[in-house]
Amino acid sequence: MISLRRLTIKGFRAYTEVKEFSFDSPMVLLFGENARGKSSTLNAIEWCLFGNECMGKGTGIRERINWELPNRNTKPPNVSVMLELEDKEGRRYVISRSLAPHGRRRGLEEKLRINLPEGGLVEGEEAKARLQQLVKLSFRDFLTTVYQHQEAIRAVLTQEPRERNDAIDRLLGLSDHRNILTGIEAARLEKERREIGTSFDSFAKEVEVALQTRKTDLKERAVKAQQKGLGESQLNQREALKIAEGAKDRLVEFAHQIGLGLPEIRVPKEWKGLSQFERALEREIKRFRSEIPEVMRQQDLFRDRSRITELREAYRREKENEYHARRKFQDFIREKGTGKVLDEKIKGVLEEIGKKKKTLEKTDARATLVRDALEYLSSDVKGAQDRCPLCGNKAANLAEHLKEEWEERIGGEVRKLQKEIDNLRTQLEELEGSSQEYDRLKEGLESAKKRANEVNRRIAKVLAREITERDDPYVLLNKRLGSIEKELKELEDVVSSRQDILDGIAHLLNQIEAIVDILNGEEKMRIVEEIEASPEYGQMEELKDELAILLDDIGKIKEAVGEVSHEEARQKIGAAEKLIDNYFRQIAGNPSVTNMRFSVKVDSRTARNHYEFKDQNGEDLTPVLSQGDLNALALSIFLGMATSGAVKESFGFVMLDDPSQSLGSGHKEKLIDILNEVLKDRIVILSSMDKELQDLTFSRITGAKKKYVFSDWTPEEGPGVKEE
Amino acid sequence: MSYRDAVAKRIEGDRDALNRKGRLWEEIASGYEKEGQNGVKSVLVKRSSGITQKFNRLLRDLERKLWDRGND
Repeated sequence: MISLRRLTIKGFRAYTEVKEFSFDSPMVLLFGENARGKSSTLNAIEWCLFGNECMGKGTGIRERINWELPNRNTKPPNVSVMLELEDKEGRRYVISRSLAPHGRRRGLEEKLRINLPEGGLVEGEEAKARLQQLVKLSFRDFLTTVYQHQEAIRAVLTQEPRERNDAIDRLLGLSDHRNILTGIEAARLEKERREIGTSFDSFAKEVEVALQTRKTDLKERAVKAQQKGLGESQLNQREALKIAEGAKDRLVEFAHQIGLGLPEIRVPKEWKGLSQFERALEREIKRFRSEIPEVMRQQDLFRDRSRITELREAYRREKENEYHARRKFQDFIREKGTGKVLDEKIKGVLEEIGKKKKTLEKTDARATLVRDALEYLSSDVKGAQDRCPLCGNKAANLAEHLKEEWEERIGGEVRKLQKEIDNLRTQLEELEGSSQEYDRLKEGLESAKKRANEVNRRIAKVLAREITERDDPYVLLNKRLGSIEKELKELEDVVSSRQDILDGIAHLLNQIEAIVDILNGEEKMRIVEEIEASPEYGQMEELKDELAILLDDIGKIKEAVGEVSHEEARQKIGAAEKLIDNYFRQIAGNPSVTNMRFSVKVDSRTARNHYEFKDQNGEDLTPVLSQGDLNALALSIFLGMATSGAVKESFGFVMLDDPSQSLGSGHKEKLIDILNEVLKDRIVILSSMDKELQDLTFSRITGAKKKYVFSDWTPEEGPGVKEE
Repeated sequence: MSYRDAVAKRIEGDRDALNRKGRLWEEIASGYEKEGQNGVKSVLVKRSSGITQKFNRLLRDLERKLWDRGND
């Protein structure tokens, strides 16, 4: 066993100035409040022995991630830890590990030196090898059997089984196995395998469907080719090219026959050019269909026929309009006279109105006179008031007489004249209306005549001859239509025979298209077949298998890691089981637990260790354990592992960092009692802020004790450490 | 015996499989010792992504060939 004798620290984490500790008593208590440098003291021992191994994620301790080693207030950084160890033969080794700036870039360089008991100094790799020989333990085993870290207890306190199993793995020094299993799971390769498998199967299905589709297409295309008059033996490139030559020759000959030009069109050497050839010939056929001279003549005749038919209709319509206009005009004259007659009648009526108006004016003059006389007589003027100025007769009441005379002689006359004038005016209005109607009808007739003449002029132009009064344009047009129809009939046969030739060539193009369709389908099927038979397709299958093998290998490795971890856990638990049971029952002091069985199983799905704690009746204890019991359990496992020899070549000291986190007073007493047992063959370094634990240590530990009190930590000077 | 050796001894199979798994285990363990759990993950992801990338490249090429040239 290796014992710890002396420790010197400078510039390490909480430390700035040099501080020295000696471990010449079996019980060394590091006592003080939190953040006073107690843990840094234990960390310094750990770092001196294991260097960078005790840092980072790999330690399984969360606080070690981004762990900062040099003290921040020591400029430049200068870390130095010296540890004096003594082996079982009493030989002393001084291990010095330092970290200081090196070179221009001021990077930090770690150095390890060992002063050997036989004299002499070793450094670097040699020192590292020598230290391994001396320590023998791995860092993992050190954490399991020498250094009880705070986190180890905190993690066991959880009720979450996976986290607790993880923590117990760590207590048993099996973090590496568990971490590797976690890393394997994190890679999620099963998902990759599924995806690759699905992709491959889906592509294979696509290829299969494409092949089936091509086969069906080819059958359908062969049927279509037969429907186009092609035999099975013609469904190949040679026949397609031969038909193309024939089509081209026939089109050339046709062009010659009808006297039209044809651009040079070449028959391709391979079937792939036939689609372009087809399109070129189709374009020319379409052009020929419209440019055949007979067709063009037909089009001219159709145009003429349409124009003449339209003219004939216009002529008929305008002649009818003219007839109706003339008839209305003549009927009007017969009924009301010509315009001249109407004008004379109007003149007569106007003169009569004039005469009547003059008579009325005279009558009105007399009426004025009588009115004046009446006014005179009605006044008070005296005179010949009894003789009538109208009739010359004597009248007793002249005024009354005059009123009656006026009414009888003038009033009647005026009313009669007014009525006659009114009648004459009505007559005049009628005559004027008739005169306007006469003008309108006359104008309508003129307009109809004009339109009919315009139609005649157009007919003359279309018939290319003069139309005289002696001609009947309607008959002339009919005659012309007859000659057009006759010519059209004659052209129809010629055009039909020309179109038949072009239809024949188009049919050949259809045949070419059908063969090209088949050749195209065959080529596509060949491509799909090539894909299925390609080396790339084979490689894909191989890669799929390769991934499956990789996953299988990983599965096997996972199993192996799980088995090793399980076996190691089983061995360690087997070696320490009794002690752990004993320690647990002592510390927890639970009267209902007379026996605690600690065992390990393997979770078949995850290959991880699953720990079980059962009582004497085989009942699971974890649901009924308090926080204090779980703390006791964690300490029991650590102390059991530390003292049982489960890990060989163990150290002659153990370090307990804040072990009483959730322990009650009774638990603490029991813990101290157990430490009394542990102290028999090793030093115990106990770091705590727990006053009760300190007091118990001094009252119940039977061996020699030493106490370092940590207080008054300052950034400049580090912890104030006082030995008591 | 270190966990590395213990697991290596536990791995079984014929000569080829043993060599293959042994090499893989060495890679896993080295990855772990360098970068912890992430090191294990990255070793395996690198191994598998090498395969899947090759596979996907071939698949893409063949799919393009099928759709561009093997279909109407």
